[in-house]
Amino acid sequence: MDNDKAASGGELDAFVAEVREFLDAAARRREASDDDVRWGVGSDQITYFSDDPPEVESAKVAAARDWQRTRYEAGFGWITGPAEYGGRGLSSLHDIVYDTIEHEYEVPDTGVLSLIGLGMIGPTLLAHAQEQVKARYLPAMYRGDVIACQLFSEPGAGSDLASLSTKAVADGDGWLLNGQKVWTSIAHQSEVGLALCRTDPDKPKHKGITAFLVDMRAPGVDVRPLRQMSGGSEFNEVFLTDVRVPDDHRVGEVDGGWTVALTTLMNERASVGGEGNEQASRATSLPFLTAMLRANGRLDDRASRRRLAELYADIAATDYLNRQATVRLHAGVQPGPEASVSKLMYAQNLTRSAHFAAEIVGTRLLADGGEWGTFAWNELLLSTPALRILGGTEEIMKNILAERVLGLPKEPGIDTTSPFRELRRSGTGA
Amino acid sequence: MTVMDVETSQLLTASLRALFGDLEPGSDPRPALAELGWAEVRQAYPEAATTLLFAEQGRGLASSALLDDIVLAELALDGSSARRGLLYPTAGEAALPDTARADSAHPDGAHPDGAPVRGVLLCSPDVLDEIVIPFGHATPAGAGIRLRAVAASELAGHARPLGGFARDSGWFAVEAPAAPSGTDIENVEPWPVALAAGRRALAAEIIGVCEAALELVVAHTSARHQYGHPIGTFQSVRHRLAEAHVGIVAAKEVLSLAGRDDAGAAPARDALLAKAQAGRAQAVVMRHLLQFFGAMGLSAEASAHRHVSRAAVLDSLLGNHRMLLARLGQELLDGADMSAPVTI
Repeated sequence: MDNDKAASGGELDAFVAEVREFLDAAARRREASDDDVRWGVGSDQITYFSDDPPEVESAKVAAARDWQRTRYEAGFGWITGPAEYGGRGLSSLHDIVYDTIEHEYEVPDTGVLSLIGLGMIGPTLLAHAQEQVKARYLPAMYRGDVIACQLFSEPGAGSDLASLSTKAVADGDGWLLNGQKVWTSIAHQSEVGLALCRTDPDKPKHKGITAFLVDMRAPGVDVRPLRQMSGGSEFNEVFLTDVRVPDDHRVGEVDGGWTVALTTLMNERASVGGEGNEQASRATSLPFLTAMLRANGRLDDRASRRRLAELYADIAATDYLNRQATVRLHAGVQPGPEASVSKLMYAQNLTRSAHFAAEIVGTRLLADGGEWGTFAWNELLLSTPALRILGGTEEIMKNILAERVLGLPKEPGIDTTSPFRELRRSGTGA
Repeated sequence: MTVMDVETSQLLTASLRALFGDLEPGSDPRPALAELGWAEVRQAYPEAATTLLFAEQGRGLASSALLDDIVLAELALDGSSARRGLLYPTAGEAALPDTARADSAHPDGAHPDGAPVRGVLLCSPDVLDEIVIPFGHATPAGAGIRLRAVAASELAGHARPLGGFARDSGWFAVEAPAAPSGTDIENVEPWPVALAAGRRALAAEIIGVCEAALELVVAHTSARHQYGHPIGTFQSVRHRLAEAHVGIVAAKEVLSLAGRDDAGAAPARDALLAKAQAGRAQAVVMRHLLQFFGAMGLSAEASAHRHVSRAAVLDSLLGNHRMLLARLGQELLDGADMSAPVTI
């Protein structure tokens, strides 16, 4: 592995010492007991999507930004990034080493920055944006000043993303954007968004799209929250009305937006499949599920035992797959179709764990009778269906695997040659 | 452990694929492997070489006694000039303890004398000098194992070729009312390690069968037209094949996990997990294979059914996936080490 060469021996030791020195000064080391999973002790809350009140959410976002800034200033904000944009220019091994060591410390969750902004939009901008945008936004994003969201899905364009209809029209030295985006996670926290827009409806649908980096605070950008069945509100609909975007904020070529989108989507699958939610991961960990079985007197149930072992096997497989994927991703290898496997497996594991728990606690899932570890599963059960939709539905993942990995023929009847304006689409009455 | 680079792995895979491709059904691949210098490859890359070998044996639907070499080597019973084979117990869970103590000192453990013998032999007893028989049993102190080597001629009269879905295997069922006398093997300490090595090899072989089966059904569904289109273009078909692929990936990941030798490894548990996961994968792959071949899949004329039978045979050997999962679940509930096998 190239990493070994890049980070051999003493040089890596020096890096480890540097990381420890930084973290010892900046954070509290986790107590061994912090990781303990003790049935019946502490909070039994299991949420996948945040349902914090606005003031709590704002405080968490501020803490995430602060910690990212602290990391950045110490040289750990973007370990593998190029130095010209504020990165450290080190190997993926350094990045993994940092993450592993940081996990030993109690630090704020920076998912609001990392999942979408740094995990998906950052790599896309680095690959496709114009110089001014890279110089201005990449350091700001990795410093925690700028949170980025993804303005892709629309009411009429979900799985068939390329049928999107938000328009961008050339206007002087820039562009005017009009349309509606939806299911936009963290739009309300974001400073910028990467938007896909129709720039030429006379070309086939994939060939008339252009990507833009939009200032989310610009006039004409209206963000409205959407509430989920699990009770929380993490995503939004975004209305764009005559939003002006300068041409240097165009990402990639005019009508070349599909290439840009693919970079984001590949990183999205890797990001969604690879990163878990800590609370949900703990609740679906083997010690926790085993304790639940024990507490519910289901030790002698052979079927339950087998399901427990199946979950164990699947979680082990997913963890190992993700570990390999992380190594590749950090090494700068563009994620491939195997990221779809990881995403399918992750959603399947969490869904099966939630169903397993629901079956064990039975009707106590319905009413909060105050019994520890029973009603608490309610929210996870209502959250896991989202994992089979977000970041590309399972149907899309399976199509990707069928065509790109297994080599099955393309589906019949998908029109990739007619001009966009001649296609029948949802929401147009056509 | 030496890690095999991609190029070496591809070269060896190609050689093995050609070897199993040329192999006459029912013949022993060992002479051809010796010609290939396999002993040296195995010495250089013990784990990776075995995984490759069994994956290719699986892919080629070949049936041999190569598994004996893996298990007996771990038991240090492969050195002598005597040709030995292992009897793979078919008597249920107690016959396959994952843990074993040298319990000759425990008088409460069942003694092989007079115990019935029931199992599968991976070749005819006529080509063997000795058969090693494991006797698993429960004692108040836990599971125990005894190993006894008996003269192959003693059991020859009790052996008959396997029937049913194993009828093409060239393997034999042995059923004797009482164990013949022989040499009791004192050192049974390596039994869990040997069992684990056998399970990893079988997991690799099952995965090989699955990969070949998936390629076969992908080719079939790409070529077979109904309603004017290849049936592989219909989502009800392609999505199930994608699920089959996910099952194979999961099995391969757990097998790589089981093959490593770092601090977090627990060889017996990880090998059990690997075989169980491969067994689950074959159940999914073979269900879809049969369905998408339609009636042709049930016909002896098409080759699809051979994958199904072979995978079922391999899943049964050394514990099928349902039995292994139930056992693992029991161990988890009994407080076995439940730390994640992977730490990222």
